[in-house]
Amino acid sequence: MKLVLKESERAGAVIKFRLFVENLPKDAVYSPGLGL
Amino acid sequence: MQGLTLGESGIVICSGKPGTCKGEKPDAPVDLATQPVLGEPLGAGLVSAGGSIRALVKTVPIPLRSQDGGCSIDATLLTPGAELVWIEASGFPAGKEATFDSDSDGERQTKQVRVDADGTYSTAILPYKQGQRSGTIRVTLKSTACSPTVNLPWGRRNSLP
Repeated sequence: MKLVLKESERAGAVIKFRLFVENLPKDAVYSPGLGL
Repeated sequence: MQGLTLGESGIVICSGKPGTCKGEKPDAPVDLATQPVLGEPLGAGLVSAGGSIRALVKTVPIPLRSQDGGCSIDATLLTPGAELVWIEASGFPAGKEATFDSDSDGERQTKQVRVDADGTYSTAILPYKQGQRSGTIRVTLKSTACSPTVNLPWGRRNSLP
């Protein structure tokens, strides 16, 4: 399994990221770990 | 935030369905907003209900990196004010000696180090200079083939360039 952070927006000093996953079960419900 | 699920492309979303989180619209992507400083790492993770599935990721949104002659050196903050910084160098002549030089506003330290067999070298540094609340440290790893240098502000929040 793999997590990837992809930059989605940059406005001034603020950068927004979206989180993508590979090889994780899609029918599961998740909680955030660090940073979310 | 609880109840995160995965969209078609593997994107983490708030689907809005029962038992999941709700965004501005159905299947809304989850945005992670951050205001990083130079060299500051950002971590994120997902944990399934029950904790049997865990995945973590770390990135440095604004890397402090220098490259020279195929070698590179990276500085990553280990504390918010850069009291402790991790230095990682790669691409150096494997197993050879190199000179590690740091200069924190005139407080200079130089030592000979040995590069690992894979051409990497890493160490932690303490950039602060006695009697100062902020400053800049210049770190160079010099070999026969290359000599990258990073300049790292410490002691204050350093925003985007």
